[in-house]
Amino acid sequence: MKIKLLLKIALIAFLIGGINTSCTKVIDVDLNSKDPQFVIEGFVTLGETTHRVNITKSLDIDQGIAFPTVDNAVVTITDDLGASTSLSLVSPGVYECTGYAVSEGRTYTLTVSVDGKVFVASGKMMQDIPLSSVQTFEFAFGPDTIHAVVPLRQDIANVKNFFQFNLYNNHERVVGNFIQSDQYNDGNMMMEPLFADGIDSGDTIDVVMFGIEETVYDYFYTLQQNEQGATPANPTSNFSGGCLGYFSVRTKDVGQIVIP
Amino acid sequence: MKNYIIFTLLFICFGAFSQEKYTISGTIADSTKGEELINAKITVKGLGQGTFSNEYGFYSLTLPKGTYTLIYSSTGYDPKEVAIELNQNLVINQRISSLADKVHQMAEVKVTAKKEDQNITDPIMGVERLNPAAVAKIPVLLGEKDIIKSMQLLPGVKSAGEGNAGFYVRGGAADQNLILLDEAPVYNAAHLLGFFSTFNSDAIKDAVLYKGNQPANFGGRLSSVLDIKMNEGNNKRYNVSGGIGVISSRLNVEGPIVKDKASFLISGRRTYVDMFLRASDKFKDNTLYFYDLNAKVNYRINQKNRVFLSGYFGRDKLGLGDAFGIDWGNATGTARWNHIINDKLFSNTSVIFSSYDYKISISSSDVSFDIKSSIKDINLKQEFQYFINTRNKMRFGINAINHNIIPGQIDANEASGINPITLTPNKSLEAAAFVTNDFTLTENFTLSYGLRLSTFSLLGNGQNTYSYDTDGDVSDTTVYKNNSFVKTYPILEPRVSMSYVYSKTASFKAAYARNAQYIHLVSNTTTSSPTDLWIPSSMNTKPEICDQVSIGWFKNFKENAYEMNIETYYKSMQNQIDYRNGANLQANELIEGELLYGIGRAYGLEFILKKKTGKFTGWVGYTLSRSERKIEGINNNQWYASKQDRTHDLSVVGIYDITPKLSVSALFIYYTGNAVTFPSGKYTIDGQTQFLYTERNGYRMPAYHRMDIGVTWYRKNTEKFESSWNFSLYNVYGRENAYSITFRQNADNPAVTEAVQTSLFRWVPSITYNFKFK
Repeated sequence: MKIKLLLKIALIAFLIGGINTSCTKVIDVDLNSKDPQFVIEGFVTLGETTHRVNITKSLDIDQGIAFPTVDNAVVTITDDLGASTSLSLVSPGVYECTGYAVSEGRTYTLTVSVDGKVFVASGKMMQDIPLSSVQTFEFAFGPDTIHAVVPLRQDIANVKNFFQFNLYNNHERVVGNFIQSDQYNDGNMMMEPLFADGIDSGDTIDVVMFGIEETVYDYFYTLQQNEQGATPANPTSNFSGGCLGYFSVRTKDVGQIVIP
Repeated sequence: MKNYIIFTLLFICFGAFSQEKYTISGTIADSTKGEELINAKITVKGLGQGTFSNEYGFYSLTLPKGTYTLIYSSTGYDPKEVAIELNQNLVINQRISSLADKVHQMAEVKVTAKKEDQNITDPIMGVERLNPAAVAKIPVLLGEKDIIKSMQLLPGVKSAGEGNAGFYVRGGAADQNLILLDEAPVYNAAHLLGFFSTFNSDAIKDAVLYKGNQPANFGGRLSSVLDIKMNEGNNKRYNVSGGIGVISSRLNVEGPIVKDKASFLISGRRTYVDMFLRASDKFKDNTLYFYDLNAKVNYRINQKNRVFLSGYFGRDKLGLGDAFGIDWGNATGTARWNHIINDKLFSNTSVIFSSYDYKISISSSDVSFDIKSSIKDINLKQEFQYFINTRNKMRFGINAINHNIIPGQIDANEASGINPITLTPNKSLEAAAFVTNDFTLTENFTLSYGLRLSTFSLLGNGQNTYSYDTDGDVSDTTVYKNNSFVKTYPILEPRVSMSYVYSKTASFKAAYARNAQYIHLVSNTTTSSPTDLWIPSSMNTKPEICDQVSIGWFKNFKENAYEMNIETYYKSMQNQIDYRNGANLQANELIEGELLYGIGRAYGLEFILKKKTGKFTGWVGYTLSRSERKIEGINNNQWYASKQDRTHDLSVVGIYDITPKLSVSALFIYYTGNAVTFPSGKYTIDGQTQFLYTERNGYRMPAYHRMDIGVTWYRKNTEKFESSWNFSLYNVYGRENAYSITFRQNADNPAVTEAVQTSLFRWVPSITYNFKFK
């Protein structure tokens, strides 16, 4: 529930429609620097046999270059029954393995060794939740209509379920951090809408829904909180060894809708 | 022989004490309005002794038999002298005339050098008394006279920033201030996300701010007590007054119900910002308003008994069409009974109800749900004031508050797919007993000392109560019987304050106080939000405790025309609260698992120089301070600057009465920016740039400064009607003061990160028309 977002809209409405306009401008801020850190994003997805790990490094704020990729890492995935696979570099910073089937209930461990450091994370594959359908939810905001996308799915009762979404608008990835939890809808047909800019009538929206673990949900929830101006903090990574990033063992389903 | 000596000694002693003493008591009030005067001075001419009236205008003075001249006076009033022959107890109810009633009819302003040296002699330190008449002339945002915004112009009191109604006192958090309106606590003192405060200045009689060294009759918050008393209502004639402004208007109706015996007051204020929104096509279906309503009635049954009934209702509403709405507000109600037991003993009994609640509603086509939360208090207070003799004035009493907090309740219809839940309400009982004495040791040395014993008990509610481990996970779940005592915290709070007047115009003061706070506001946003939640102390969250020590030097010049106060303080705080990374504070049953605990400290130097008389009045206030926290689990367990840390804070206020009909004022403020957490690096997650943070609050926002000016034109002043115009300009040189600084990718080159500053108000002019039918 994007309460804080809606509160923000109300505040801006007040400021713009009210007395005076608020102004924004770009300024210079003198910031400290930090030694570059390893950033690992690892994915093991139910229903797929190809799994991917991205490894990059962090930069100082004032460095206006692309994030450096890490190409010399040794990356392996093992499950709790001992079946393992190694991932090889397929493009700068991207490691993939093929032919590795994954199933519900298994625990997968990702190990990354690079420059003398070892980073390890584990995750357990949860029960699959399919995407029943994709609907839309509209409401009027002055003369405009805001279209939101509703991914309908039946939540599993008495289990904490967390979801992450990738949205594509006319095949272009929509920028945003889309996560939901079943805190208020446990056991129900979940129909919480997703709000994003630029969704208009006639657009084809592809929804990819991932069932994720609580640690990964908390990771993205912290990133979301940071955007909203609360005292920002680094999200807790499920990796040991001191790197940034996360390892997500997730289920997946897809759906599509054309906005009426 | 021995018996004779003893008998003689006893006779001498008895003889010495047998000098007869009598008491003069009564009330002191305004002659035109009948309003009792708070803190008015009754001095004995030539003797240098005297007393002050209490918050109900009652005074009591005990002197040896003899002939005296008493002087009754108060700031802004013509002093009155009364000759008395004291050979029995006397009751004198005095009326004095306000100077304001005379001034506007005169061609010149009479310069009265008031002998106001209370800042030197008062043993209570760290106190600011704000006169609503003075507040009226200070320019503020949108011409709204605002007692809280004006208080922030004094040293030691810092505003939480533009767009924030909260304030910080001596490095304490915004929830550590107890705001009392006619003894009822007001939980949310802000309208519209912080742009205005909830106090309608028209109805306010007196406001006192204690910055941590409050006497033992106050308790429950660490940093300050803002004690606001409303007018009772003119008990001689009807008055209708009000003001029409750009953003809001107000109306005040008061008058006698039974002349000189009973009166009422109704005061209201409403904004109409939503009218401006209607002008815009995009926002015309939106709602945005707030209102305040104060109502009071009082009845003097007889010379010794008086009853009061007062209430306050305020609400804010924000809405986006029909789809989304949020409203919140306070409601308070107080019933009081003053009883004068005898010439020396005054009693006040109060029953107080206070509540704050908010509701968020979302509805569209078939889906609808509401989220509600509230805190409701019922408070019983019994207080006695015992004017023992000229040297001792004692106060003692008891107080019990029942807090009932509903942390979250969700009501949803079937179609929404959301489960309706009610988070378990938590109930607690906060009780206290106190005794305090103002003791005049010698003419130059006065001491105020007291002890408060407070206790807090968390009561069972028949549902799950959780305990947590250090990782914030639930370690234990227990069910306690409804209304059983789950956990009780007793805390002893000693308070002592002294003043040593070493010359006619100067004094030194020192004070120590311990304060306990049992309920805490959970909020991790930079701006105060109406959805912030109050939680009680529990098995996991301990009461906050603060020990504050302060010393000061007070000096007046030119017959009290100038007042200079310099104070320094040190505060040590225990059981301070902060939040885990990514804490989920909304409607979370396990909210205590998101909290982290530690200690805090704050220290500073406050300086103020005031000019109180003459055509030109004003002050310069400056505070140099530091406020830090050390919380287990944050910033590697190192000390870090708290959000409200502000190194320099300067205010300069000037008011010039050009003629009795025209007055101009200006103010200039400068302060160091808040401590903030900025990134020290960046990385990519899922194709988006994220920021890397190192030290908590290791950076500063840019310094804030602005100048405001105002002009008040007292246009008409006749027997029946008064009117004035007020013009003000907020932020005269249009400085873009930073409200927030965020980081984002440059639109043209995503690899480049830029810092974006948002500022709120540049030039804001306003006009208000004020009127009064007398």
